[in-house]
Amino acid sequence: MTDLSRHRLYLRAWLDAEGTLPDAVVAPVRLAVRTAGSIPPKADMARAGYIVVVWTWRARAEVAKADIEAWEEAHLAAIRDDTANPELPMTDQAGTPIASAEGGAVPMRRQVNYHGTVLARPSVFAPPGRTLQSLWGAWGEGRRRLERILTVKPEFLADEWERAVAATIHAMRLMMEGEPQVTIIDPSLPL
Amino acid sequence: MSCLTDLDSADRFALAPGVVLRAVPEWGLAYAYTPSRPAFLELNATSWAIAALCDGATLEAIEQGFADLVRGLAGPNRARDVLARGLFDLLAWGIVHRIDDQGATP
Repeated sequence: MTDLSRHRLYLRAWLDAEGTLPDAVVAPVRLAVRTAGSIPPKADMARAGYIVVVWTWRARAEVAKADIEAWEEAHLAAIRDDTANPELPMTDQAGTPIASAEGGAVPMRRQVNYHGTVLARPSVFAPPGRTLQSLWGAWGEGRRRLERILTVKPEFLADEWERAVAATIHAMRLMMEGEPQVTIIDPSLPL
Repeated sequence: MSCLTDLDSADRFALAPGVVLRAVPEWGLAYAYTPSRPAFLELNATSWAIAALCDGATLEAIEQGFADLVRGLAGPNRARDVLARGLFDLLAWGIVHRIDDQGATP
């Protein structure tokens, strides 16, 4: 079967599933810059004790992409508080500044970071579902702060910034079906 | 820019030179890159279907192929109308172009 025949079969199946013939639409792709921050190189993570916490969760049926994007903006705005959670030179667990594995300079990082929410798919060919993965990073004191933010109800937190971020986590949990599956990535642990 | 009223049923259409069309079947859409007017475009299933039929075929053959593809989903008038507007858009965006019998743009 040629690619063209295969594509026509796909298209027929797709249009059948739609049940009607939609108007033809051609639109420019608007590439969005992700707002979340990058994860440091593995060597920097190992030296600084930088962990990444991954929540794998299922969105409730009524939750739309726009809801998740709106939540993400509010969550990031809460995390990026330059007074309560400023960018600091990364240190090892003894407090000595580390040299980045990429460039040699001392990397600057907030002690609690949000790395984004992405679709979790077993392969690029699998249809997108409602399973998502949300990633946070933390080093230094941020490790304990992140744990509190993700696990303690906002009203039980004394720190104002932690309470504000935890409130956005509470809002996130309202979008979830059940409990998230938690994975910790910690390159400071020996293989 | 072409207008469909200028077109004849014997006119032939193909992807414009250099255009890259990549289908994403599981999402029911395709992406096109048009290097002559650098743009990255998203085609829904209907536009993708029309573009896929523009393989050097005549307008008459494209109309027949499209009617076959959407049979049962839309009547002949609706199919012809959707095809006309879709083909116009594809020409306007520079994704497909009209070719002469030698395969060159007239």
